Order: sequence, then structure tokens, then C-alpha cells
Amino acid sequence: MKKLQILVMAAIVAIAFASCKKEDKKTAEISSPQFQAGQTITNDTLKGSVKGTMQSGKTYYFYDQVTINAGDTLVMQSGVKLLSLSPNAQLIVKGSFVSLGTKDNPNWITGVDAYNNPSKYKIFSPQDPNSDPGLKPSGMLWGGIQCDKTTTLLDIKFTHLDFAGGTASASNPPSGYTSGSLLFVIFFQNPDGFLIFEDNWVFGTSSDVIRANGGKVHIMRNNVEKLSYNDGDCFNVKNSSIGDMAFNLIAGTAKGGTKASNKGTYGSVQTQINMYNNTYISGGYRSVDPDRGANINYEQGAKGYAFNNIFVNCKTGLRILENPLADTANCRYGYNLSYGDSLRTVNNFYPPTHIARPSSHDIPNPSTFYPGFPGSYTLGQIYNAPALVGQNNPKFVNYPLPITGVVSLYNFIGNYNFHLASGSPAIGTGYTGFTPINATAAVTNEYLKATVTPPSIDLGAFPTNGNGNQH
Amino acid sequence: MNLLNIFTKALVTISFLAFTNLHSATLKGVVRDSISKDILSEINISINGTKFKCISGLDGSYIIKNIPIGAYQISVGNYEYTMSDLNFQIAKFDTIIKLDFYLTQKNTHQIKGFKFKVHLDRESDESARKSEKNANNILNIVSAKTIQLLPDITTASVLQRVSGVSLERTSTGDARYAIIRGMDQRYNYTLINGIKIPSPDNKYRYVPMDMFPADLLERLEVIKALTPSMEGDAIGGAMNLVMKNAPNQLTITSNIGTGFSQLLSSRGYTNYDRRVVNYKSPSDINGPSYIATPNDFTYKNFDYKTRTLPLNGILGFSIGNRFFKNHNLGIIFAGSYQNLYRGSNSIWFQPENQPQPGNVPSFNDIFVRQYNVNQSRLGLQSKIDYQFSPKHGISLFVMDMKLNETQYRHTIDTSLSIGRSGTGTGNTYTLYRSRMQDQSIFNSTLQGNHTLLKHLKMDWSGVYSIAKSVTPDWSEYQTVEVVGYDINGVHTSTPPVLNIPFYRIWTKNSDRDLAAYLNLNYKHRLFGQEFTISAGGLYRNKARDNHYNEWDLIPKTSSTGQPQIYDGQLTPDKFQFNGTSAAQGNQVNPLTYKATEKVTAYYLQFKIEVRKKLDILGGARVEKTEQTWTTVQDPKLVYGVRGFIPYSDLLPSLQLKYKLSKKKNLRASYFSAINRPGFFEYVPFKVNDDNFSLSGNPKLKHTTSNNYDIRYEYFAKGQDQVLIGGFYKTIFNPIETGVSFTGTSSATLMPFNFGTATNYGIELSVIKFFGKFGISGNYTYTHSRITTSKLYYNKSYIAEQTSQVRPLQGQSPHIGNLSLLYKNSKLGLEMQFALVYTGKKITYLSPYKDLDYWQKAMTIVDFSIEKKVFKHFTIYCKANNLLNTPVIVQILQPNTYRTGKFALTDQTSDTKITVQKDYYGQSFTFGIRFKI
Repeated sequence: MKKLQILVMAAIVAIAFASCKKEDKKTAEISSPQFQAGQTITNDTLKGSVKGTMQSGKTYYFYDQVTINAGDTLVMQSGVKLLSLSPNAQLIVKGSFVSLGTKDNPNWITGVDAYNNPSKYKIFSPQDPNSDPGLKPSGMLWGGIQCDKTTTLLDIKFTHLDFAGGTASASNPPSGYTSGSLLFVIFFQNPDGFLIFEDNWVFGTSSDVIRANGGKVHIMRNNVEKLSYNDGDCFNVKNSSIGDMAFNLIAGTAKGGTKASNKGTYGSVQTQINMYNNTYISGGYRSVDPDRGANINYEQGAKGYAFNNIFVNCKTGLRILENPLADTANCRYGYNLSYGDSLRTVNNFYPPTHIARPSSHDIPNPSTFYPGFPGSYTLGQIYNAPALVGQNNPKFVNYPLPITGVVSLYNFIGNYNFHLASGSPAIGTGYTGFTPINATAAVTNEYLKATVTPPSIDLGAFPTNGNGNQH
Repeated sequence: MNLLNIFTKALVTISFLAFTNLHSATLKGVVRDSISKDILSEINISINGTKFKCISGLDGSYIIKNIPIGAYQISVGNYEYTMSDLNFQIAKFDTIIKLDFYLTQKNTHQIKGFKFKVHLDRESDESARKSEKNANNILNIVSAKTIQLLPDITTASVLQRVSGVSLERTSTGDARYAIIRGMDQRYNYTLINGIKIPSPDNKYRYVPMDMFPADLLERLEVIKALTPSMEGDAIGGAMNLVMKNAPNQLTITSNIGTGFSQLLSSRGYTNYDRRVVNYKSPSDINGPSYIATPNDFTYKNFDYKTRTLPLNGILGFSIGNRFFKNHNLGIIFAGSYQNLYRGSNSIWFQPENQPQPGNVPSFNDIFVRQYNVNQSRLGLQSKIDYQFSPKHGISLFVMDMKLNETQYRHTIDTSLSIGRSGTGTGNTYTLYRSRMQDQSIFNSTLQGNHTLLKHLKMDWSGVYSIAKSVTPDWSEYQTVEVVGYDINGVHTSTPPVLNIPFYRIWTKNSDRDLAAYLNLNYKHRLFGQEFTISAGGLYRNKARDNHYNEWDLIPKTSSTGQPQIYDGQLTPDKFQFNGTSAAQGNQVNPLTYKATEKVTAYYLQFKIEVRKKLDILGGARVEKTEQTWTTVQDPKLVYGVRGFIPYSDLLPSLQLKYKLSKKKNLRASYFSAINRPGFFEYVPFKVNDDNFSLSGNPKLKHTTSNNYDIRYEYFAKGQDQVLIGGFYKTIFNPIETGVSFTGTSSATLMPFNFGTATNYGIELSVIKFFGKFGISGNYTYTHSRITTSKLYYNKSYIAEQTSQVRPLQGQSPHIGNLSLLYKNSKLGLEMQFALVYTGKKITYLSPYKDLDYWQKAMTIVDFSIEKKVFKHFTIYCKANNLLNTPVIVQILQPNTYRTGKFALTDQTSDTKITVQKDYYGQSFTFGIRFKI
């Protein structure tokens, strides 16, 4: 009996140690995506991973996610059309994407039907947003340009980006999104990458035109209209973004126009954006949040210069955020012209809920409606200036000021002409004593490099010298 | 020794002491167990044929005064202990007769030639103290008897009374997760009758301890040092809930009670009818590709009704017996139901994630919240055990615990950031949240005990457990208006509009365990010393399944392209979805994932008793773990959709117990323990938050540790005890959320291993009775240090990379309990004042240096009383949170928010900023208990 017991115990011990020894060395396995080498463009339909050159004048199609691998470059020469066959069509940029349209030979990325029948899609008269293809949530035709943290260059020139947005894919949301969330037209998230966006046209979005979580940006001379149903800004950059936003014509944003914040920053770069010579039309009305929707925003810790802008019938004026505080010591602004067709609008040229300090170089001069300005003026002082309604008309060549209809529906550029007619108070009243940041100066290739337009003495995107917005 | 006989023995010591001033005789002494010499309380002592009688106190003492001269027969005993009657004589006045009694336990039987010892009342305090003393390792035990008298009705709140344990609380102040010796819930596990149970949590393994009604417990053990036979993933400790076993004779208990919350009685209780909620989401009903419309959702879950004084309901029931001639078959069934109405009023200043330059905290919003919660707890358990023969027994235990919560949260959110022009102005959001959560844990365990050979025993267990949680249609809508002033200083507000978002979330998750345990014990003598060799192991296969779906309803814009003014009617025509995949309910998200875990463990353990003085228990355990996860992303396109992480640990343990005397032990222990990463912590799905990217970390290593303990134990008479201990832990690769620095200017928040942390402290626990009065207290000092990566937002608007040394999250340097007890067995009256002190601790970790949130030290006082009214009935009353102690959370930074445009209310200090203040009010429970 005793022997048996000892035997049993010995067996147990033996088993225990045997299993210790036969420890098969399993190792951790974490699935990696199958790498698909970027295929050079050979036919007219893009799919999978692509790279190379889309030939000048040709039309290409896509219907699903098309990826540009890290290290690869996809180039659209001038006059190239990339037409979407499905709202799932989307550019996933992990490397570089370059679209080199020209003034005479622009590029297009849009839905195939919208390209062929633009009048069905682009409505240039006041329209209920719920039935406006440019704004209604179901109206977007492709899923935008979604860059990853590895994207080194996104360079888009003279390109139409129409009806981009929708919600992130239910099968493969791009990096940084969960499925169902609103897609930006362009999402950029590499603080060390370059984003050159000049002379483009954007029509109809679901959310922001550009959202940059970091980046060296150059956003100039673009025309954008009908932006987002009720939850999007136009150019919205956050942590560690630097650069210029200038000579843009921005009409009909749901919320803000140009926006900079130092939120989520890390490293040696503070968000610094100059916003100058932009023209903002009828912005901010669709925002459900009643105090959002300003044309220019400097938020948490951001700095920069905002001069020579024209604001027409925008819901809220220049907004310098007090909490969380913008870098107010290094925010400089003034020489901006504000025009409003309603008392509500003119009373918000300087929103009392924010700390934009009126400048005596602004039009209208604050001393005309702030009693005692500047001597007894206090920041955030409430004013009531019915006399300003309809005053200081910037005298655009062709735009129906004062608006007699519903101002909030004048969310389009259409065939209006925002050049300055003679006698405009915007002529010659600007400030040119500062220089652009020119954050993409390191991109020197003559095809790729940015063309920086310095500040103009005339206000708005279309100075009389013709050097501004080319559209 | 033949135990069949009800063996009685009395050692009588009679001493006559003369006190001439006295006018009658007094009989006094102490009652003890004849074998163990332990103090016995609640023993009846009566002088036959007279009215003279009394009951021994908690220190075993009794006293009968004013006995006239004469000859008497005295009876001593109770249902459990007996002693033959004793004759004695009082010959003269003015004497004190000292008479100690030694009693024998009744409950030992011999059945069919084998010794079958029925346990003494394991629910008693005496038994708990004895188990602590005799245990192989360091533990604390709370008996059912103690629990019954505590002011607590859930296991979580009982835990806070245990030395070295503090609790994490819910939004309505209910204790939920245990922090053991400063180690938060992730470092601890929960056992039911020694079997580990799965968790209904959607990310982690830890179990919400308020799921278990306290009245189902036979005892609660907090085990602080692991032996090789125990699972190795408790660096803090293990909580073992020992559920009721079949009693020796027919026992029926029941309990019915009611109560109310003071806070709800003063402000009313508002909630919705949970029956209107559809447990199935639109995609559950129609498939994942279904494109929902606003008509697919109910809006009745926002029909709130107010009641003035909702009354709680408490029901408890148990019945148990042993059957057949030899008591081979034992059956117990117990159930407990609690339907409670809870509330809290909270004010919270939401900090902006990123501070102001100079790393100064800033605040975005003031949230004023009212919580209304209905908690319904149902616990059912049954155990059947059958002893086939002296050598073979089997038992089946089945348990089902459910906790259903229905919550309405009303929030007024005043923005400090948007629309603010001064005090009393700003964007004002009103939020209505309807949320219900049903959690359950089911466990069934089949166990066998076998004596294979004379010295060799085996036991085995087969376990099936499943834990589940569902939150169907967790939703919140909100309206917004701007409050301000016009030029004349008149208050204005814009008409309210519906705001974004209006989310509808369905989550469900389950955690299923299949496990098998096998243990062998060989017990014999060698060179005259008793020794035991044990070996065994376990295999557990765990499968987890998490689902998360969210539909965000977007308010429609008016035909003029402006927000519509809200008319107060929540109807589907006011909403729409942003797009197709939004209407499909956010199918691809990080919280939809599957995980598995396979643990194979085996151990070898020996125990030697050296000269009856020194117990040495030691050995080693091997645990092999294989964790996997799978997300719903496309593995062909995305990194880390699937993962497989194997690791193996060798966990040695050595427990020494030196018996200084019969009542005193000196213990020393070493053990090695691990902590496995949470299931979700690996999942590398990256999402962008406002400030940071958030992600899991597939490169995480599991945490290992070395744990050292010493403890001095003095078990004085009765339940009195003194425990003094110290512990020291070094923790390698602890997992904490930190900031990952990738590239030059991009930061991601994710879990990381952070070097080595240390945690040490001392524990002191004292129980002392003075006749009818008792005092029970414990105190724990804990000191822990960990270094993690942080950001510092400097005055140049740059966030620099830095690191910070801090205590572990949830660890208080000082925690303590003090209870004052009064037990008068004669009157059947028991009372207890219980005080819990929890020192300051970190409740939230900021990514920024020095901006963690600290919960202020707090003291909670509870009271309970019970009184026997008839033979089998006891009425009781429990009163909780008598001082209405608020929970106050602070950032320990100079307070610049006492004045000015962004001043915050409730600020009392220049050196600390209050960010949260919650009040729960008192709560009261009354009831009656029945026991035969």
C-alpha cells in the first residue's frame, strides 16, 4: 500500500515536471495587413494599392477605397478627372498624393453623375438644406482624402473636390475614424507632413473641408461653398499645425470658417496660423450650437495674424477664445471689414462672449458704435448698433447686397463675383506689414512647391491687383 | 476517542472569596470549549428551579448575583454546546463564587463506522477567528454573523470593513470594486467557494462586488498571500465568497425589509419605465447591414415620472437540511432580492484635458447632475452535497446573480468656454440620460472528494460559468440655449434647440468560463513530523464576446438652414442620420471584439509541521496563459486585428507560521504573483479623441511581482484578536495608461508597462470585547510609488515630455475602520456603530504632470441595531451614511478659480481646486428576520 502511494505521488511529480520541460515555445503573433505593392496605373479604374501617374486629360474611375502606400506617390497631371462610381470611393493616403491641375486645365474628383450633370447637383439659388444635394446628409458621392500618420505630402492644386464626405465605412473605417462618424474631405494627421492646398474648388461636404491634427499647411486661394449640413467647419487645424490660410472665398459653412487650436499639442511646435485676405460669406447659421459658427477662430493656445478679411452676413464675428485661452499675446488682428444685413449680425461683429479686441483699423470703426471706444471700452462689452445694418457694403462686382431673402440660404458662390468694384471700402485699407509663415518652403520642387501670395493692401480674397484668388 | 457519544466534561474550579460587605452570593466565571479552551459566548446558564439565569458574554464571562443560601443544580449549554448538570451549594452570604465551565460540542457524529464530522457553525465569529488562526496563509475572514449585524447589504460594502481594503464607489455612492492594500481592482480576483468567476465588465476581469447580496454568504475571506494551490493573478489579494452550506438540522431563515433614501425623500425620485426599452437594437432585429431610421427607436424612454417617496424592498430566504439516517445528503437553497432606489446630487467642473500654458488647470463646463437609480438585485444559489461513503463525496453548487439598474441622469451643463461673458451666462445644455444595465453572473460547480488511499486524497471540480452585461438603448438627448445679458443688463436666453449628439447605444458582452480543477493531497508522517504533499492543476478556457453599436441621431435643420426651436416633443421626425454607415450603427469600433484566454496551471506544494511549532508551506506553481483577441476590422488592411499572446510564469511561494503559543502566531510569507493585461488593453484599434489618439497596445507585457508579508497574530479569548502585519511588494511592468510619444509632435494615450513599482505598508487589526461591549478596528498604512510618462504644457504653449512619480491609482496612504459593538444576549439586542475612513487617493490620472484628480479623505459613519422580539424573530434597522459625507475630488494645484469670470462654486481652498462634489444622503433600512 505504502509503495503504491509513493508511486502515485512520484508519478504526479514526474508529470508536473515533464510538462514543465516540454514547454513548447509559443511566441506572440499579431496580425499584420497583407502588404499589397502599389500598382502603377495602367487602366482607367483605380483599385487596391496604387501609385504612379494619372495621365493628363484622361478620366479615371474609382468605386472603393484606393490606397497609396507609405513611400508611394500618386500624381494626377493636369486635366485629369477621377470620378467616383460609388459613395464608398475613397482615397487612403499613406504616402503622397499630388494633384496638379492648372488654371486652364483643372482636375476633378467628384461623382460621375455630378460631373456629367452638374445642374442636377449644384444649386445656385436659395435652397432648403434638407433637399440640397450639396448639404443633405445622403448627398455625398465619395469619401474624401483620408491621410494617415505616415503621409508626407498632400499637394492639391486647381482641383475640384465636389460632394466629398459621408460617414466612415462600416467595413473599413480609415485610420482615426470609427465607422459611422462624419468624414472630412481631407484628414491630415502628420505634424511633420506637408499639406499644400491651393487654387481649388470645394462644393458640398459632410464635415470639415480640411481637418489637420498637425501639419505644415498652405491653404490659399480656394473657393469653397455649401459646407456641411450642421456640424462642420471649413479649415480646422489643431495640435502643432503651422501655416497660412489666405485669399480663400468661403461661403455657407455650417459652423466656423478658418479655425486654429493648439489642442493636443506635443513637441516643439505651437499651432500658428495666419488667416488673411479671406472672404467669408453667410457662415455659421446651420450650427445647432448657438454660440459657434464664427468665421475666424483662434482657440486654445493658438497664435497667428488675422488681417484684411471680409466678413459678410456671418453669424458670429472674429472669435478669440478666452477659455481655454488662445495665445492672445501673439494673436494679432485688425483691418477686417464686417458687413451685416440684420441687427443680430451686426451686434455680433465683436461677439461679447469672446475676447476679440476691436481694432480702430477695422471697418466699421468701433468708435462709431462703442460709446467711449477705446478709452472706456472693456473686453466683451455688449453693444447695440442698429445703424450698422447694411453699412460698409464691400461692393462686390456681382453680389446682391443687401440680401433681401433668407441670409442663411446664401450659402453658395455660384456665378457671383466677389471681386471688388471701384469705390469699395475694402480697397486700399489693408495691412501688409507682416509676412506669410510659408510653412511648406521646404517643398522646393517647381511642380510641387506652394505659391505664396503675400498680404494685399486690398481686403478680401480678390484684391484689385489680381494677385489673389484666381477663380 | 469515540465521538459518537455526546461527551461531556466539566472542570470545575470553585474558589471562595470572602467579601464581608456583600449581602448575597454571586456566581461568576467564564465558559470555554473543553478541547480548544476557546471562549464561548451565548451559552445559557440557569439555576434549575429558580429565575436565576444569564447568558455568557462575548468574552465568555457570566455573572449571576443575589443568590440566596441553598443547594442548587445548575444547567449550562445551548444548541451547540452541552455540559451535564452540576450541583453546588451556597453556604453563606457575601461570597463570590468563581465557577468556570468547560463545554463540549454536540455536533460530532459517527456514521456507519466512519467519522463524519459536521462542521461547527461556520457562520459564527468564533469559527472565523479560528480559521484565521489555523489558516496556512495570511487572510482575513468576516463571518455571516458579523455581516448580519453590519449596516451593509451588499458584499462590496462588507469588504470595506476588512483590514487593508478600500472601495471604489458608483455615481450613487455604492461600494463596487475593492482596492486591497492600495492595489486597485485589476490586481485582485474574486472566488466563489474557491472557484474563480468571470466578470460582466466589458474590458477587464474584475468583478463588481455589489452584485452579491451579503446575506447569501457564509463567510467572506480576503486572502492576502497566495499559496501554490491558488491562482496566481492576485498581487493585491483574492476575495473568496464562501456561500451558505447545508446546515446540520432543518434551518429556515427569512428576512423582509424596507427602507428609503433621505435624499430621494427630500427631492423626489424620477425615472422611466424600463419596460419600454427594446433589448434588441435595430441591427439585432434586422441584421448588421440594416439602415435604420429615426422611427426604429422608441422615445418613451424619456417619459419620466416622479415619485415622492419610493420604498425599498428586501427579501431573503434560505432553507437547508441534511437528510437520511447518516446525514449523507445535504441541501440548501437560498435567495435574496433587493429592490433599491438610490440617488445622488453631483456637481462636477469638467477640466479641459489640456491645461493652460504653465500647466495650469482650466475648466470647460460646470455639470450639475441628479442621479436617480433603481437597483434590483436577485441572487439565487443552491448546493447539494452527497456523501456516498466515508471515502467519496460529491457536491453540486449553482449560483445565479443578477443586478439590474435603471438610471435617469439629469444634467445642466453650463459652458465656461462657449458663450460665456460672465457668471450666470454661457451656453447652457440640458441633458437627459436614460440608461439601464443588466448584469449577471452564473456559476455551476460540480465537485468531488475522494480518499483514494489511506493517506491520499483527491478533489476535483468541473466548472461552467458565464457573466453577462447588457446596456440596451443607453441614450441621452440634449438641448442647448445661450444665456446672457442684453445691453440693458437684462437676462436673456435664446430658445432651446436640440443639440448634437443624441446617441442610442446598445452594448452587450459575455465572458464564459469552462474550467476543470484537480488536487491531490498526500498526508503522512515522516520522522514523527506530519507532512502533506499536494499537487494539482487547472485548465480554464475563457471566451469573451463584446458588442457595441451606436446610432447618433442628428437634429434636422429648418428649411431656412437654421436649427429648429425645440417644442418639447421628442419625435422621430425631428431627426435623421448623417449617412449610411451611421444609420447602420457604427458597426466597426474598438469595443466590438472577441477575446479568449486559456490558462493551464499546475503546482506542487508541501507542508511540514516541525515539532508542532513551525508550519512550513511551500512550493511552486506554473501558469501558462494564452490570450487572443479579434476586432471587426479587416485583417488584410489593418494592423493588429488579431493577436495571440502566450506567456508562462513560475510562481514560487513560501508560507511560514511559527506558533509562539497556542494563541499566538508569527507568520512570514513570500509569493510571486502576476497581473494579466485586460482583454481590451491589447486591442490596437486607434481612434482620435479631441486631444489625443487613443489606442490599445498589443506589445504589453503582463505584470509580475514579488510579495513579502509578515504578521503577528494574537488570538486572545473569545473573538478577541490582535493582528499586526507588514507587506512589501515589488511590481514589475505594471500597466498604466500613459502618453506615447511618436514622431516629433504627436501623442497617443495608451496602456504601457512602466518599469518597477513598489508598494509597502503595515496593517493593524484589533478586536476586543468587554462583556457586552466590543470594539473592532483596523488601520492600514500603504505607500506605493510608480513612475509614468506625462506631459508638461509649458508657458511657451509646448507640451514637453516628462515623467512623474506618484502613488498607484486608488491607493490611500491611510485607511481605517472603527466599530463599536454592543451585544446583550439576554435582551437579544445588538448594536453597532461603524466608521470607515479612507484617506486621499488618486481617482483619475491626467496625461499632464501634477494634474491628477485626488479624492479627498473621507469618513463614513453607519449604524445598525437588531433586537430579538419573539423566539424566532429579530427586528433590525440599518442606517447608512449618517453624516451625509460628500465625495470631494480635487486637483492639488493653486486655486485661481475662487474669483473672476471663470470662478467655480464650492471652492474652499487656495491650494486645491475642487472639481467634483457628490452627495448621496442617508439611507435607512428596517426589517424583520426569522430563523428556525
